[in-house]
Order: sequence, then C-alpha cells, then structure tokens
Amino acid sequence: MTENLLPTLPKCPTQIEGLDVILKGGLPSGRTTLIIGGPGSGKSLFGLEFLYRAALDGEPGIFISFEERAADLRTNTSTLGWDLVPLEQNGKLFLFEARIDPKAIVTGEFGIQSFLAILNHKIKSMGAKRVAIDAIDVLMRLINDERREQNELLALHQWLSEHDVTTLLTVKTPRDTDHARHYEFLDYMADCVIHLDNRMLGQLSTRRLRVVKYRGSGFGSNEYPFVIEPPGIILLPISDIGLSHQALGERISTGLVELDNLIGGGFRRASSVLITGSTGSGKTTLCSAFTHAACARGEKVLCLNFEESEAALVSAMLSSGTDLHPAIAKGKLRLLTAMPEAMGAEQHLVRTLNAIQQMQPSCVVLESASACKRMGTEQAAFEYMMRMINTCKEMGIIILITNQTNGLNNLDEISGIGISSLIDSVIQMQLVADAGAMQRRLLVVKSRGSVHSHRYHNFQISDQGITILKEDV
Amino acid sequence: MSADEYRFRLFIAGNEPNSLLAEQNLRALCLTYLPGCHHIEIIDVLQDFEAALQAMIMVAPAVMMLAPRAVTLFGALNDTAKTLAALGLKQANPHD
Repeated sequence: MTENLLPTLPKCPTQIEGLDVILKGGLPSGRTTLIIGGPGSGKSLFGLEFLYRAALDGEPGIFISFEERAADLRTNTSTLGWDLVPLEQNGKLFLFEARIDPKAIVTGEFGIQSFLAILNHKIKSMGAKRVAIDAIDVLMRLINDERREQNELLALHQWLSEHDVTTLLTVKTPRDTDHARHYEFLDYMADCVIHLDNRMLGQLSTRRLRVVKYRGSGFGSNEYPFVIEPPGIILLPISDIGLSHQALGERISTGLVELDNLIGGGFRRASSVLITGSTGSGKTTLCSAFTHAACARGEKVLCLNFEESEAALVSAMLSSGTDLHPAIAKGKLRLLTAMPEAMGAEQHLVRTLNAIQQMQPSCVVLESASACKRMGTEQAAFEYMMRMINTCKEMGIIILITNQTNGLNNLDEISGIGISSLIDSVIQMQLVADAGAMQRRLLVVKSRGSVHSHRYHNFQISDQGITILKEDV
Repeated sequence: MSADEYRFRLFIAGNEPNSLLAEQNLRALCLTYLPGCHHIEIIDVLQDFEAALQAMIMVAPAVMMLAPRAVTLFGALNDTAKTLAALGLKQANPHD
C-alpha cells in the first residue's frame, strides 16, 4: 500500500481499549491533545488511564489535577480495579495536586512559571514522557484576561513541545461565549482534539467519543460509544470492523437432518443465520435442536437470551425433547441472560464480547433481535447486532439470531433491524390457519452460497422436537 | 508589637518583571503600614520548586500571609487598596 511508504507521524499508544484503532496508532507523540467534555463525561479518567497503562509497563507519567484531590483520584479508580499507590511509590506515576486556593485574591499580573518549574523538575527527575493536565480551564479562569490567557497557554504549549512530552489536556465544554474563548484558542493550539459527551438515549445514559481533528493523521471520524467499567474505558469502534470476515466455512448440521437436506447439507461455519417468525412459531425450538447437536459433537455454544431466564429456557426445552442440562454441566453450553433494559447497548456488548473471548465458542445463538430494540434506541440495537455479527464472522463463529415478527405471514419484517445485508441465511417459520387447524411451516428465504429449497415445508413440534413432514406429491 | 507579627512568604519567578514589581510593592506597603512588625521571606520558585509544590503555589508572583491569619494573593500587588483590604489593613488617610 502506498500509505505505508509515506513518512508517518510518530504516535504514542494510549492502550485505552479501542481508542488506538480510532486514532490509527495513538496520540501524536511529543505533542498536545485536547479532550473537551462536560462534567462527568470521563475526561479525567481518559487522562489517568493514558498514564496508568503506560506506568504499568514501566513508562513514567505525571497527572496534574487542578480540581480533584489525589486521594479522590485513588479512590475513584480503585472501583475499576486500579491500584495507583505502588506506581506512585516506584516513581512511575505522580499525582500532582495543583488545586488553586479558591479564596486567593488576584491583584495584578502573574504567570504560570511556578507551575512550570514544578513540572520541569518532576519531568526530569522521573524521566516522564507523558503528561495529563486535567481541567486547564481552572487556571485560565484565574487569569481571566483573554490576551494573557493566550500568552500563558502558548508558553505552556511551547514549553511542552520543547520538553518532548506527549500531553493530554482536558477542558470543560464551554457553557457560554465567555468560556468559549478558552476553547477556541486551545482548539487551535492542539494537534489532536477529542470531544466526549454523556447523553440520554431512550432513558439510558450513553457515552460517546468523537475525534474532531488530528493534524497530520487520519482518524476514525464517527461518534464512538464507550463505557467505563472494569478494567477501564472501553470503546467500541464499530465502523472499523468487518474488514476481516472469514470466508463461509464447512457445513454443519442444523440439528435436523431434514432441514440440512433443504439447504444443501447444513448451515455454514462463519455464517449468520436469521430465524424469523411470530411468537410460538418454533424459533427457539429450532435453535435448541441446533445447540443440542453442536454440543453433542463436542462444540462449545454460547446462548445469549434477552427474553427468558436460564431456568425458564432449559425447562421449556425439556418439553420439546431437548435436555440442555448435560451440555451445561460439561461446560459445552453457556447461557447468558439479561433484560435488555438492564443496561445500555454498549454495556451489553462489552459483556457479550467478554463472554465470547472467555469461552471461545464455535456457535452463538442470540434471542432475539426484536428484544434488542429494548436496549435503548433502534440505532443502539442495530449497532449491538452489527457488532455481534461482525465479531462472530471474524472469529469464524456461526451465529443464529431469532427475530420475532408480529404478523403471521409478514415477509417485510424478516430483515430484523436493518441487518439483512450481514445475514447469510434466513429461515422463516410460520403458523398458518389451514382447514380449521394451525399448521406449522417453514421456508428457506435465503441461503448464501447454497442451492436451497424454495418451497414451504410443513413441520410438527412434539416431545421429540421438530419433525419436518414428508411432502405430499 | 513584636517584630514579626505580620509574616509574609513571597513566591517569585527569578527576575521576571511582575515578580520584581511584587517584591517592590510588598516592601513599600510593609514600610508604610507595618513598620517594624513584619517579616518577608522570599522564595524563588525557579530555585526551590519543592516549597512551591508544598504550598500548592502554581503561579508567580504570589504572596502568602502566614500570620496573623492566612491569606493568599496572586499577582504583582498593583492594586494597593485591594491588597490592603485583603490583608485586613486600613488605607492611610492623607489628611491624618
């Protein structure tokens, strides 16, 4: 690629999960990055994690806090499982409390030489290459004069560049035009600018990050959702995935020999299968047959269920002839259940991806796309589904997704929530009224890379599970 | 009054103009309003950053009045009336 032949800007990896992908390697090395966000948007934590991760690897850093006490920073980060004290003790992290006495009286001009003198000594004595300055707006408000603010900021910027430290500067989102002037100049001064915000979406709090500027480098320009939970900040760069899908793999049984025959031998590995139908049409029963067969072959299956509890699901399957207990006991099957409303889509995603990483299953069953809509907004659910499908495809995992439709015969609802282009196979299950009785039937709507039946096939569900009936000729 | 009833610690940044001005202003003020009862300690933050770090003084010039009560002032002390008010001293009346 020609891109690789061009000189590249030296970068300083943040090691914040997902952020380096968006920043195409990290923050600009030896330069200043600005993080702008409202109260509680996670600015301080970004600065601290940038230093903490490096400190764990033995690279020293200095955190300058104009607002929070060092003791509070230690306590707050301990909830993420971080222990800052040993890093402070062995000189890898210095929490520099630069709180300015709010009662101090200003009379005449002053400069930040004292601050720089302290910083200078600490940088030299620790050999620090990373600095985070948290809430620089506090210092700017104290100066309270546009020209002098700019002079001081410029002096700080030059000083930092001369000392070859990679700096992360945080500033609160301006509330009015008076505060906006701090921001404008900082924005101009910084080589990289990142916006953070914390907003409500469908009654769920959602954090978002956006890179708005990066001199001399490309960057992921979308808004990226992120969560703050152990082990720290986790970003989910959705648009930067999906480029490394594995090719559709070998065929594996659907769990029903007759269905295997209808789709050319079975589902393919690394493919995504949507099973759609109204309530009671047999979607879960089909998934269970598939799960049972996979576990019987010795494969690992992860079932994500947003509709029923684990106990309810296992007992429901017993009635249709599938006993999932032995597979669970042997560790071949794991059921991960949650109410969609319990957390935001990002948190669901982190939880699910962690489970996949831990278990390394070869099959994933997700019930259901329709329930995912309750994670907040349709957009959030769409991102969750898209990320799940992409992850499975990258890892060569086959994923079965159910989607509950409202109508009895509604082909329009098949695609679920806009994910149809990512779906390789679609099986529609129906309950139709026929001569005074409900008749069950299924149709293979789509099966990428396979010759498949285009007819409706009647089936029954008994205590032996699903039986596809022989066609009347 | 004892010789050091009013104790000041002045933080300066070398020979920088505002720091020189602050020292000049503080000395003049003490001579006028606190003759014989003040003590001024000068700390150059460029030499003694530890003292600045301990006192959490980020800007210079800065004056900390340590006694009779604690007051912190930032700047070159150009505004005499404001400085006196902050230190709890009365401005001299030229008609007295």
